[in-house]
Amino acid sequence: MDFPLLNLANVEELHREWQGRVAEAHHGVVYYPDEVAFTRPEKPMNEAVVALGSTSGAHLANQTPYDMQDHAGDLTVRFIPGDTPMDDIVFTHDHTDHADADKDPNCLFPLGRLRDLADQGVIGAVSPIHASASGFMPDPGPFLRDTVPEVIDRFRAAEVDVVLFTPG
Amino acid sequence: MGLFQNAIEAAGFATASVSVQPMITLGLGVPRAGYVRFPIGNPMGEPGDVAMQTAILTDLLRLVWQAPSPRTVVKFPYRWRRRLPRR
Repeated sequence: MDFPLLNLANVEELHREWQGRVAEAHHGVVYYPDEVAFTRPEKPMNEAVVALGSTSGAHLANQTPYDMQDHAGDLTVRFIPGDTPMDDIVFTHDHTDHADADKDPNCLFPLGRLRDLADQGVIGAVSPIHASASGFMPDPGPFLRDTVPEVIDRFRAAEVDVVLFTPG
Repeated sequence: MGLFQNAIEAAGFATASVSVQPMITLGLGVPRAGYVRFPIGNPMGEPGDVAMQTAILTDLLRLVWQAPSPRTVVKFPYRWRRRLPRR
């Protein structure tokens, strides 16, 4: 691997502490499994269909913004077409400074850069569909239960191989 | 993001994420992540910096193919040039 591992000195302890804190916050429900899934890519990079996933609060200018008033957070998804002009991507997020992304959405949702990589033949293709969600989800349970299955269905229909994630 | 990423990976997609909060990423455990010491609103770098944004995206892709096992969290070799806001 070309990259150095981040210092993993306390991972076991961090993991347990994190599970404890999450369980406390969510009344004993732990969303964090001990086993982390691992899917190896089947195709080479230059044949792969790549999508973006994000909790940056990105959405199309003409889509309903995420609800920042609801204390439960907004647990819905916004699907963003792969050919969306970057000027049409905006951000609704009251808890992250997205001033730079407002000027250049690639800072938080690098769809323009992904298209460049497809043009250069680095990846096979940009997915026709990408998925963005709000970064404010005090209890993500309903998101995982009710929203993520739709994202999975749409990504499968689009024959996505790889998904790259950005936070917010 | 990590929960979203884990669910997508479990459904059969290979994933990688960029993290600016490595303690969360390490504590939660995700398939593959690259850490950059950038402000929370700028995981891909500075506005207009095509080279850096492209480099980070390319490194995320390389991580998808190179990571040997889950919970691979690596350090990406990028520096923020403007003054970093205090967190």
